Amino acid sequence: LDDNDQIAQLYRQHAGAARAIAVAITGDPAVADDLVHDAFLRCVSRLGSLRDPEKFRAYLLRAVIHAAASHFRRRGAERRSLERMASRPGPPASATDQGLAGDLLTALQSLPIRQRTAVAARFLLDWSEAQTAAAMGCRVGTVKSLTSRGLAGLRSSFPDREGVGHD
Amino acid sequence: MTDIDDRLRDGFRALVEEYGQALELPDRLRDDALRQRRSWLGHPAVLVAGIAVVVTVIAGVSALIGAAVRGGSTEPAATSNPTASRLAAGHWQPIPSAPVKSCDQTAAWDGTELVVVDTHFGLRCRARAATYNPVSNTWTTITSPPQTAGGNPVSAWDGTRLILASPATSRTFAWHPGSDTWQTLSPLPGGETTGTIVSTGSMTVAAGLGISGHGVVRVGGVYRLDGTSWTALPDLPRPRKGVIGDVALGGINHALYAVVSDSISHTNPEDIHTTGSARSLRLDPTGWTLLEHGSHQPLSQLSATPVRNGLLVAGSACPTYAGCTEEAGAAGLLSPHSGLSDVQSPDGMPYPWDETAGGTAIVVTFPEGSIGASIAGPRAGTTWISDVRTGEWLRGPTASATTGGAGTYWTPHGVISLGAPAHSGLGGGILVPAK
Repeated sequence: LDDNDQIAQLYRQHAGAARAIAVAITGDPAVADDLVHDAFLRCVSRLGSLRDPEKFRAYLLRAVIHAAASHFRRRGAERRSLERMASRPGPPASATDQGLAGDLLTALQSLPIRQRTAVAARFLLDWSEAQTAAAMGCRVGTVKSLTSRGLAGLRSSFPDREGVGHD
Repeated sequence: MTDIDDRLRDGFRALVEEYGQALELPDRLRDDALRQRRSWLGHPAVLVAGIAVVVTVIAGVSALIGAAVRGGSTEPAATSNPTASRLAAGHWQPIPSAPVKSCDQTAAWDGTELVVVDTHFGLRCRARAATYNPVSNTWTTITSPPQTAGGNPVSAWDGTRLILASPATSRTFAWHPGSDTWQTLSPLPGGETTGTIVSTGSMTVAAGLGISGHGVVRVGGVYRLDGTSWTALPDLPRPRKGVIGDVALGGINHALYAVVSDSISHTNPEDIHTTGSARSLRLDPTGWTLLEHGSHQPLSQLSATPVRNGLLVAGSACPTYAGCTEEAGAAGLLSPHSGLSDVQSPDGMPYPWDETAGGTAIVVTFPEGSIGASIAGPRAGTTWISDVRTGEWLRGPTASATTGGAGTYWTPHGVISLGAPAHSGLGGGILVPAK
């Protein structure tokens, strides 16, 4: 494979997963696309230095998680997100309004950024606690804590089959 | 698994289907990527990196040859309590891949084997369990835990059975090794999710953390296991400010102690981390007594393991508000006489990633870090050992990079450090003390 084909193949294989977690964390597909593009470029530029090129997927996903964290830090979006969360009157719209994926996205946005990131890494990427901890730059115990609280938050805000949130 | 959990799982699946499909490389990104790749290939650092790889390979082969020459005496010999100096002079022995994936697991030492249980909630990992025998260096599959156990499990060995609970639910279970069966115990009476569980030698106790609203932890119920049901002990006292964030329980001389991390993060929207202070408490016949000496460190995400006449409490700290983007680490020793005192780290050691403790020593290992993350500290596999009597830190042997990250456990045969590359079987290493 030449460089062109290799890069296209890497993108085809891994960009989808990167976009999914970026959407889960940011809640915005357009922002997610930007983050994935930037992260992909960074990882491609380091492709030759990777100890194990087979780990490109993991590197890309970690880069996306870091980029998402930087995005929120840069923009102060966490504060605005929390303010929105505090002013939200009730559970998100019913399941029939926006589909399961939309419902989950809405519920995810009600979580603090770090809980959201941990939950998305654990349950969307199926990463282990150790992988998630390494990507987030924190301890495994922190991931346990963030995940369990995030999951509890999702359970309370995710609409059930009748479109009613749990609490 | 509850109906809402099934729906959440379906939600994650739907999200992957909607946004995670294979994508074709856009032309503009292709051009940028090719430019990045070509400019990098011409960089002189490539040659340096190549030489470094060759040197590393040669060093690795030499190490393997050395290990083969030393071979033949790697079987861990049981010793009641490996000392710090013997651990520091010991060696790491790889343990084989487990029939349990590296998702999220809990483990407890049953006196002979390490019982490892995974109750992951995600899309691909499923509840599995196995035991690891350090003498034979082998894994044995045991009956899988119920799917309803929930994720992020915590466990304790109560002398005859493994008690399993989950911070995701209030359900609890017991595994009986004789019959290799799982028994459903009563849920925590207050309906809290289980934050921690511990066996003090005279009783098994769980602390539950109640959740309200958007993941804010509000109360801490404590329960003693009597047979198959839980009896309420006095609730953990609420903090003057904030809410209970985390709790670690432990027994010292058959008395029950708790270190409680109080969170004030919800009071400050600028702070996305758990920030607060730690209180140490002892359960007396009249209720919880606050020990006078608390830690100055804002400990959170706590764990506690017994050491000689005390408890090692390890956690994280994020001591500033908006400026805190990564956790610092923190550890303390809880003594019945002097309360919680900070553990001083050796120079250059940022904080423990994986730690365990026994009667004589604290062992800290550092698993593989992440590329691109600005985590400073020792390289993967670094091991530090502290003598709990003197507080002296000793540099231990270096483990392989894949060791660690999934928990470290003290046994009479040595210190087991679980870890694994992504989605392969759980493995790791055992730090075998010198004879």
